[in-house]
Amino acid sequence: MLARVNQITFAAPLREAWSQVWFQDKPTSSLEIARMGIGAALVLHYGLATPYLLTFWGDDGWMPRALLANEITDPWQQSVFFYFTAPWQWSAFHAFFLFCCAAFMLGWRTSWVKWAVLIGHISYDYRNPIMTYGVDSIVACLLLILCFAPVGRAMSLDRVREVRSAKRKSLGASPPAFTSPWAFACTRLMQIEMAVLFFFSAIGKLTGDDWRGGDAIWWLFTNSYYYNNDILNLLASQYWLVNVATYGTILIEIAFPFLIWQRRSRPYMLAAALFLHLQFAVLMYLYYFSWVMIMGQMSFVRPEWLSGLGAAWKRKMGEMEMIYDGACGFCKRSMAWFLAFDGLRQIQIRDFRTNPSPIVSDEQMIKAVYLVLPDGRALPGFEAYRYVVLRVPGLWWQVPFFYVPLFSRLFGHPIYNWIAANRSRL
Amino acid sequence: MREDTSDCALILSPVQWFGKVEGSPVHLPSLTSKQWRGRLTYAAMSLLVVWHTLAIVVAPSPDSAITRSARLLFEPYLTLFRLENGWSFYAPDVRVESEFRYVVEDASGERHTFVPADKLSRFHPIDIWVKDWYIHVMDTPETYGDAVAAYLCREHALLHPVSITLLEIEQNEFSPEDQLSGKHPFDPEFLDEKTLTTVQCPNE
Repeated sequence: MLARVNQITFAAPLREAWSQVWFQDKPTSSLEIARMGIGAALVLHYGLATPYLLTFWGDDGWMPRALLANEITDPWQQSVFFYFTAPWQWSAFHAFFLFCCAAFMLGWRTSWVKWAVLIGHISYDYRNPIMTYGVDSIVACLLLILCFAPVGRAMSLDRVREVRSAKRKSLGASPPAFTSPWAFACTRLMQIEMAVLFFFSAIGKLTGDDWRGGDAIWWLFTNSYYYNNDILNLLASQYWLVNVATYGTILIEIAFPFLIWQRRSRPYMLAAALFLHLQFAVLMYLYYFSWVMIMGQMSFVRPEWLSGLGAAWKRKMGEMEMIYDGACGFCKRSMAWFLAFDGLRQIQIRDFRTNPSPIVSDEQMIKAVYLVLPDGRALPGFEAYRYVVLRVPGLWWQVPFFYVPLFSRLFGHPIYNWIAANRSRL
Repeated sequence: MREDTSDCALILSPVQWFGKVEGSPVHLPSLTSKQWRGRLTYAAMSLLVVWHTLAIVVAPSPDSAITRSARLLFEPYLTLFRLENGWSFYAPDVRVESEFRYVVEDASGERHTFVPADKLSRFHPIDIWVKDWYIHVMDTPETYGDAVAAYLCREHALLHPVSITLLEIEQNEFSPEDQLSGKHPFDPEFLDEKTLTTVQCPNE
């Protein structure tokens, strides 16, 4: 009996510590940033590879199927391309994969497209394994974690659909933000992945004479691929810069996995890692690699930082009240759709039929929707939307339509006025 | 559930691990089966995070008796999801990479030299894929030489090629003193040309 009591008192703190490490109830926001960033990188990367589809991955390209046997010896190395026989199948799959990458980036049907993206990415890698390099492995690692994670619950079209659905029932409804202990566990997995990556990258460098001797950066820039005469001139005349850059790289990589976990040192380590990868992007032209690494590092961004950033943005932009016609079905449907993108809940709404505005008269409201600003200004119709899309991050994708010089206003006003005049028939 | 000021943490008990939404009350399970389901799920998730963490640590670990045994266990998982990587970027030493070139000999005996790197753009994302492919071909011409030459025969069909010769341009060490004396890492004195293989193109 005493043993059982001891066991219980001993197990409870352990279980609590375990939950503290892995299963805190947190939002998916940092994972969503990684999802969008990696999705965008994949769309761009594989999209630009489209003209080379059959050259890189086709049977008559650089890696004929007979040669592949030299590289693929493990039955666990699988690719959908192994089962294709006609060129149209490559094209169809590539189009489907690009579609899934775009959907993954936007967070549309995320629960299944994420798996299609992972399978597709691995399939490309194993169809021509000798062409791939470090970043392809990093993408696979991060994608697998994102597949485990409940991503698509925020900053996504899935979230927009959920909010829109609730707002169609009641415009004032706002579904609460998703949080989950499993989201935190997956964030933790991504953090560990990045820490392990940094650690072994540093260890690998410490075993080499070039790095230990402080000359690695010099040899790097004499390489034809990274050659830049101005940089080489600077390094040759100020060779201490080579030593600083070489040892600085190792220092950041070795410090990262140890100091990234502490509350005080995390911002500095994140800034150092960001600086390092911006250097790789600018000086070594490793844009794809640097971008993917930065997206992985986003897992260390605390949700509190993001919510603080959102609150600061909301304060800076000020309150916005949109006044609409509650008797118009089309207006309510449009508002539900529009407000669904307002993730920070910056826009307040008022139905002038039930709650008349002290600033805008009912006669004015019959003609157009109005936006009332804290300084008392009231912007009608097109100008109201034009003002909002620039200030609500979820609506930034509409900025190109509203801010084309001359054309937006030239066509926007008449289009809006026509819709407003005919709204009862829509 | 309690608040943790250090990390704004909400520590959940095993039965509460399911996703919940902000503001909604946490219902303590009233049914035993629900309690069991929660505990089993918590245990399964704990196993998964432990498994995955061990896998990503084992993958890049140096070879040893322990890692060899661990690899036997994790290998299928690591391979299937392409998690296998040593993460040794430009390590242990920075390799001075050779440049790949090839010569197409046409039916009239004229030789046309091509430098594929000239067609690459550092701003194009696939640039490194192409570069890595050439490096691999130069490393193992006996394996990939014929396939690359066959591909190049087709690509340059308009020249009516008779043969393709693959070349490796090796770059020698280039010191800071060389740079300061106005030399260039790609001056002929720092380059050695090596013929990898010559492959006849099939008759048209």
